[in-house]
Amino acid sequence: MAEVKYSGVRESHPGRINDLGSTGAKVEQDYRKGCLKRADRSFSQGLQCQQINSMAALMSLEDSVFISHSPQGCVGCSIMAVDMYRVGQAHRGIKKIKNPRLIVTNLDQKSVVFGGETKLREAVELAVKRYSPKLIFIYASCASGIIGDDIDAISSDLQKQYPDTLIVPIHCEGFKSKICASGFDAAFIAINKYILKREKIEKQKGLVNLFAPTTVSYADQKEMERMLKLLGVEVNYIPFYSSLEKIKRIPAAEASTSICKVFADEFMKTLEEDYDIPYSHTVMPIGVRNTDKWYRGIAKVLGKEDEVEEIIEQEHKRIEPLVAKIRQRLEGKRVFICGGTGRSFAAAALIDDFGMELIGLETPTYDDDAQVDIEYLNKIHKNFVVDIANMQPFEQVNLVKKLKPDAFIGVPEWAAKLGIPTTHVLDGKRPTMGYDGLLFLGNKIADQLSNPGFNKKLSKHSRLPYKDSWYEQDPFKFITGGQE
Amino acid sequence: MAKILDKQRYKCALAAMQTVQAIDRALPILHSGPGCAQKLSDGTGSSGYFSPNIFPCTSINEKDVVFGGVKKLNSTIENSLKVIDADLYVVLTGCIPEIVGDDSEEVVTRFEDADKPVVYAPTAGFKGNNYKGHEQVVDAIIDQYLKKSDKKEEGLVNIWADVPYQDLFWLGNLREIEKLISELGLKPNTIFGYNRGIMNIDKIPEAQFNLLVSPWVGLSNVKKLEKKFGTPFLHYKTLPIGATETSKFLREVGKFAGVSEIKVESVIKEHEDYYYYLIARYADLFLENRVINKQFSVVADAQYTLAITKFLVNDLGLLPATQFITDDTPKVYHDAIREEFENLNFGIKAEVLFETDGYKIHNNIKEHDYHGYPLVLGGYYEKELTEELKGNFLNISWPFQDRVVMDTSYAGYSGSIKLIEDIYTVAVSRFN
Repeated sequence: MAEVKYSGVRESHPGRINDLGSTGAKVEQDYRKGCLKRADRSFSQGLQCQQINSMAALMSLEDSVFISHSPQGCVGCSIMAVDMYRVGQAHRGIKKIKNPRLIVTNLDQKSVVFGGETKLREAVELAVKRYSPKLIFIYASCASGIIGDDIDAISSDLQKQYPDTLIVPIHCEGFKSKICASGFDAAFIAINKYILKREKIEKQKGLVNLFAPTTVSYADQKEMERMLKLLGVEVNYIPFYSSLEKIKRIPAAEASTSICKVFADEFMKTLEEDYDIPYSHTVMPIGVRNTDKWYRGIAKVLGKEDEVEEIIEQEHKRIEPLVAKIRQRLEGKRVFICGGTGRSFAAAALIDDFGMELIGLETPTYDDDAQVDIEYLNKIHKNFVVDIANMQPFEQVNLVKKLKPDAFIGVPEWAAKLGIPTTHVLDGKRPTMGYDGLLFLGNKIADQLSNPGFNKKLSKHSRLPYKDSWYEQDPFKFITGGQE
Repeated sequence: MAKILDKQRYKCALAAMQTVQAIDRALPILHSGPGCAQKLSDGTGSSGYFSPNIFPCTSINEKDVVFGGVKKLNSTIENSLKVIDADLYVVLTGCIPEIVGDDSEEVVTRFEDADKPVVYAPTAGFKGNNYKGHEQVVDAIIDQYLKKSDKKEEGLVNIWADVPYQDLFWLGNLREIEKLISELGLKPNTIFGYNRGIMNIDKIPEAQFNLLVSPWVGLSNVKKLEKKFGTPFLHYKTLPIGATETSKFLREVGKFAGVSEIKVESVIKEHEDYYYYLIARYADLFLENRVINKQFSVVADAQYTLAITKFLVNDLGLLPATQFITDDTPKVYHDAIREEFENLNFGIKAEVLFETDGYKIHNNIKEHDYHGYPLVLGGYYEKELTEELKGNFLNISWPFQDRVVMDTSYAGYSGSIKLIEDIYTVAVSRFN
């Protein structure tokens, strides 16, 4: 029987949709009835493309060179990756801080006509000569994809020429998916195909793969490792700040789990199919409820259900009085949340710890996973708007201005200009996750609410770039297609 | 063939969205792949009225690649005009529409009668970098928006300099040059930054002359303006930093504009007196060899490499090691720029390399004997290098990471004092 392989494009997942305006109650029903269809927008603002995610997922791997097979602009934001990598090393106590090695083939007009193969070959040669890396990752781009460069064939040919360096092509052409998390999947598909190669190795009892995207801070890594070690396991933390050796250990694990809901979720399925590694896919461990759920999930896979209950009880005892203190400062506040798939739902669960009320939720995709979260949220919060959008600040400000929340959690720039107190949950440098992260996050939100002065001043003296008439219109008027 | 880039120093032509962004109330509309705006933005003061995440974008998908994205572009422009409150809309195309052959220009012409002007610049990433893209945006405004005018305003000077945002100090520098020009009794006109915008764009054809302060970026623009409006231009190649160059700059501009020598010299004297008062007060800092060494390298675009080399040699008495120009300067300009480096005070000549390959630049710096710890002024990539060499490093060129600059200027007399402060702050905060 022919095997249907996952393409790496997240839209291919049955029932997953991208663009929708709804409410918590309605979307739950519509999804159950199968009424949600793929839609689009006749007006939209810039997104994040999947190539960024493919790059970000691997950029901190040791002994690697990253080749973007693209015009020069596709690595325009590389300094963000450089910064993250350098900060990550500093946090990990590394004395001699390095930059990631990043090369762009710089496709030009000639390549568009004659193909970019020569440039890619030269770039690989350059990378090997200069850095003798163990790994070379080749990232496809919109341009290389459309001109039809066969990076797989070129890579396999180059592999013969450079046997000491593993050459890994990644199919992350930006136009292929509107969901940037597809880029994570593209990276993992390549890792399986070119590094792990479905070869089974000897299992190591008590070894757990912990998948983490770049946006997880070192403080969070330590918290997650601390929690897993309490269960008596050894953690293989990948692929962030890891190495070829650690990647090669992936198949030896007894179980897998991930910190982010849309990071390695598809890959963990593959690991179960190809290497018999069971996994836990639950939620992002932000807030008490989600942290418990995440923790129980992996414990169950490891057969440590009793142990985990004991630890959870102790952890609760430790943090509950502290959470209660924060609750006093935040109870009853109405919140609008905007974030990536993992963090938005996690933040929505988190605010319940502090007795806050959800009035709006903006998240990039809706699917069976989201449905589980929405069912849970609907039990707590009676009335909230759901905007399925990848950013689209014009919709967001329209909603925020109408809903007038007491606090906004997410990318702060636009809500802040409306004078709403704002906080971030995407913090790659400070704690967010687990029991300890929860306290940090709660205090951060409360401190921000205690002095909304900056945002108030900002809103008085700056204007958002939309016409006044826009705020009177239906925020979802540009969504085309969708519900039947 | 465009060069393969290791540690690249610029972005693609579509990054000219930042040139548009620097024009008050001008909005870029992108006909491009989904991630372009995000990839081409910087965290350097771009969250103003318009910011990269709010730029309308067609976010081309697989279907558009096959069937063309013209329809989507049309609806995106149409709705941008309805939703977003701007004075000028600039449609920029990325790689995909130009490869698949969308006729974007035709779509833009459909909006000729819109309430607000809509212009178009083809800025596919595979066609060039953002220095080129910047010129294309200015060209698009000249060609498609500006109308001929019989009115000429005596003393009105259009000032053009390097690329906003690519140049971290663009805002401060422009304001400083404006100030100096005003002191000569002229009326400066710039289109970038706070409170300039379309009002000032409208005045471009009325100027007495165009002043281009850049080694090469923008030369094609002022030539175009000369052709279309008959406006002469003065091309001053060096961004003036420090007393030597700024006084020279004022004399040349004064001469070109017909300002009396007495007036020019009185402006210069006032500035130089204060400038040398400061320098003299801190002379011991510059005279003590133990603070920094004499030899330095600049790794930057032609603008800063030339400007800072001149300043450090002619004003601060340092000695140039090899200087690196990383902006992929078109070959036709190389000789003229090289000549500037061979014409420093006391017959000093600086070796200059036009080099876009960061790896080669780093090797060159590693191999050179700076007679002590090197002083490197460059992009953030040079931080790793200077840490290795225990040198002094100041981030003055793209990419930027470890400093915050709001409206600081390095240009003029006062800007050069700021540059001295920055260099010596680095030096004294280290244990060299």
